[in-house]
Amino acid sequence: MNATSQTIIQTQHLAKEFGTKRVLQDVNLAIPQGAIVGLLGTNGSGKSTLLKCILGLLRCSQGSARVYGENAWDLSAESKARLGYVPQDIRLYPWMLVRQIIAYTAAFYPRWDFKLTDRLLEEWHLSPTDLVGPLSQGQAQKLALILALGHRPELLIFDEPVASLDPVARREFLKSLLEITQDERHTVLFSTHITSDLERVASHVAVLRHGQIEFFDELDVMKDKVKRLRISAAEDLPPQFAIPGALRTEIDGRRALVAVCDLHPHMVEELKSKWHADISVEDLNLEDIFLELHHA
Amino acid sequence: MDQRLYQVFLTYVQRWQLLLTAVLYVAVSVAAVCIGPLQMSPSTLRKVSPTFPLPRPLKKFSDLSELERTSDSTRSVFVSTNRLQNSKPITLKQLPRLSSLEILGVFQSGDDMAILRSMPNLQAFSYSSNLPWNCLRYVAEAQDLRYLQLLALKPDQGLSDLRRLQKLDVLEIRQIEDYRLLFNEIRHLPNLRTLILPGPKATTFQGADWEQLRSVPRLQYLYLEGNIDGPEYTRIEVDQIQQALPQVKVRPSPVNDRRTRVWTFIAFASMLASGVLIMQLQTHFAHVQSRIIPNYTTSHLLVPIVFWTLSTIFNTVILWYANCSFAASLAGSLIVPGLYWWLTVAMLRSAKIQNQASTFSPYFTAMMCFQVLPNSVTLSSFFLGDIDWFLSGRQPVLAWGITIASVIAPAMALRRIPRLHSLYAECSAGVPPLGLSWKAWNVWGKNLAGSQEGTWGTRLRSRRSAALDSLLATRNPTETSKLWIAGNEQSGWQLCMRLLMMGTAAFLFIQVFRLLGYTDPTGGALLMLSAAGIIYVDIFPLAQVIVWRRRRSLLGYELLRPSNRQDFVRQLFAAMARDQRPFLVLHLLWIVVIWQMSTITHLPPWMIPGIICFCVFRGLSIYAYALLVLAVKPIWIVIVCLPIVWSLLSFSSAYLALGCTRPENWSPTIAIPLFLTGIAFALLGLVWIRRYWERLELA
Repeated sequence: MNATSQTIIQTQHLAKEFGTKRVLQDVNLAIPQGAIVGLLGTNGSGKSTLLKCILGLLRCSQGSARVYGENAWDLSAESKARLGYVPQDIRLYPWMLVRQIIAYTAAFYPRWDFKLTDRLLEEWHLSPTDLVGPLSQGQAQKLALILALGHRPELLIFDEPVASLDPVARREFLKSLLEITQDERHTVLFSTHITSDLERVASHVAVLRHGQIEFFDELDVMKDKVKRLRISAAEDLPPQFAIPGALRTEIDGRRALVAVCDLHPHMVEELKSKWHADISVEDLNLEDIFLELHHA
Repeated sequence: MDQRLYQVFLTYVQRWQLLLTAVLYVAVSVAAVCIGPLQMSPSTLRKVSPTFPLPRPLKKFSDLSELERTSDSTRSVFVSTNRLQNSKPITLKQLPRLSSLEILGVFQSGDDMAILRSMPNLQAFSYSSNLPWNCLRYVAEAQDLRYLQLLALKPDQGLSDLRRLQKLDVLEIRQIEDYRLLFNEIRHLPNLRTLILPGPKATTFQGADWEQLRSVPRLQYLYLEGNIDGPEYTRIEVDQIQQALPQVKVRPSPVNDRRTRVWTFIAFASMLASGVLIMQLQTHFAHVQSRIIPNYTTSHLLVPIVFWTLSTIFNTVILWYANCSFAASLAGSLIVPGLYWWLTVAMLRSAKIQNQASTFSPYFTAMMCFQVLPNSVTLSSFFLGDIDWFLSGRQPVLAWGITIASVIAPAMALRRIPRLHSLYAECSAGVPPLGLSWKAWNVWGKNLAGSQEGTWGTRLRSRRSAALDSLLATRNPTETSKLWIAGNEQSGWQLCMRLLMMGTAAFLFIQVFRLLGYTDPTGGALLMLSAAGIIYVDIFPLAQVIVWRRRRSLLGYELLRPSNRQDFVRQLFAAMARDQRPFLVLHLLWIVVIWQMSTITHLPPWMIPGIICFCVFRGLSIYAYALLVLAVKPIWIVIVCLPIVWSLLSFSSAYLALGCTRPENWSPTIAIPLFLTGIAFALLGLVWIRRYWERLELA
């Protein structure tokens, strides 16, 4: 992370409760300008709630959420004009035509890029004369994405943006996203379950677990940090076999499979000498890392 | 900014419901002005009668001589002149198409009056000066005359000529020296239905006079006051005259009727239009974009505010034009928008409160007290037979008080409007706010279940089932309450239908009871009570259950384990009961209002228990219906049968309550069968409950 870059989103000790149920607790996050952050978490981990708190759709129970240095709950019109959001549950005016809803949304933004929206409509096979109501879920999501991208916002927040898209549309969306964000002025925060997509576009990854940020760093750093050790010892490994920083340990006689965070080379050497073992260090993809982090 | 407002404006007009409502609104308002309370054709009345200050005829002259130049196609003429000598000799050409003539001037001789002979199709004639001697015969030659208004009639003018006007429908004579002679003549008018008789004072009539009036074959209305001069009557005097003429509807003034009519139409149209506008406003604020898009709130508030301002001006002018006092006109125009602003805020607030597991809050009570109370007083007065109580400005303090309250209420609501979107946002976190779709309900259910997140359309059934099982596993009525609100979907059509039902039900109900002669304040207030019962206690929850089932939201019910179904229904009813608590308060407030009004109307105190029974009866019936809606297949049977049963029950209970207050107009031969029908339906409901309880596998 570039320490000199401007922080676009910052949460400090953010907590959110619904009645007696605490969904988020002590969330600290600082997203720099130009970062493309993938927010990962299991169902109910609080991803959507966190995004809503950041957008000011929900008031924080404790702590603070700031966007462009402003309190998220009271964002100015200028700041709102610089952000785009696609919610999980898309709600568009069903009685409008596609071109009407684009014109309607465009009227609120001083710098609407009609060329971009026209191009995206064409690429995503949406007709401007189609009625919004009968659009399929995937088409509606595409339209919502177009509406969120049309004013070329500097901050984009997506809540599972590609969940309803087919593979082709998903790829096109990611391509468009990369094009839009290539100037490194744009910041993107999105939640998703599709880790392969996240790997393709994200520069940073945040893992939310039990309402807390368990991991937040650059994607490459994460991949460097989390490794899997395949251990084959000379004799049976004891049940209490443990490695510092292990995320998950699976023992089967003389063999063990250990996912480790912050693995140091000297640790492997120590293990080799202590257990007379052959140890292979494997790189993990993001999905594996996610599973390991959640002890799956 | 202009482009933004234009686009927002488009969102309002693109929905055809709103356009249709706007057209309906204007049409109804104009109709309110055009339709008179009498039996003559509206166009005729509009053209001729100064009693009904309606738009003047197209042709308007200042001198009779101009009449000569009138084209043959002219149908209506108003002549304002006393310079008759300038136009002599009158040699009018034939005006065969002229159907109405109103003259504000002096005819000095029979020759002058003879112009009526050139108008064979004259149907309405108004003469606002002293009729020349022995000239009524010229008027009587107009055989098609249906409306006749004369300033004065003297015995020497040949009253017997009146008998020749066999088609006469409305007769208005402002001054008459010997009314007995007139009564003797009008007995021979077979089609006379309305008599407007500002003087002499009818309380001086003797028994034989009443007997003569009673013998007029088709007399239906007797108006006792003019709009300019003549005697005034107290309510007691009007009641006494009414008792003397039981077959005739005795009213103080036709202006009074007109005001009532206009007010009714205006209130109905305004209620409908405001409701649809609020619906649209809610749609705009019901999604998260309202928080994300810059300058969203102001733009979307401007359009309805402009509309309401225009409609308030429009309504005020119409009511003022219909001889309402200015304060009453303003109050009447402001009250409906004010009510709707508050309802919007209250609904949002209610959703917010529900999210916090408490329907019944001090806020809601305060809202009821501050807004519903003044509204109920005004709206109750709107149903009064004697509209002068409020509309004519005889109660200036009340009229201004209500006006001020009506202004403050929307102002207070407006103060909260900018926070609406945040309220919605907060609601959407745990509970879908009003206005969510069926799909959104599933999102909510999914979130509640918390374990089966996934893509749309793949695991909806299992997800719904899991959500409901999760709900029932908690056995927490609060969770079911959330489910209940989730079912309270407010799509455009549903809300539109509710508003239509609300407006139509209230309107029809009032008209039916008007036909039965219930025009007193107590009856009006009771009708309001009944309407409130219909709207809040019956229609809303039933509509919710019907919508649930129609939209297959209850699919999850069928997936539930039988052991959980009983819990489901119990908790559903518990949630319904909680929903109805505020409306129980509303009912109680209405009882207080009626009680307060009893000092004016001599209301017997023993009607209060009757009203309470009425409320309880109505409140209980909802549960039977809800079960029916849940269980009966096909659903259309319920949708068709329910309104019939509901109407009978409503009518019987309202009639029963009315009987408490106006025994003289209350017939046990009608009331007892109606009441027994109601009881029968209630018993039938119990049987059905028993039967469908088993069908629902709840036993």
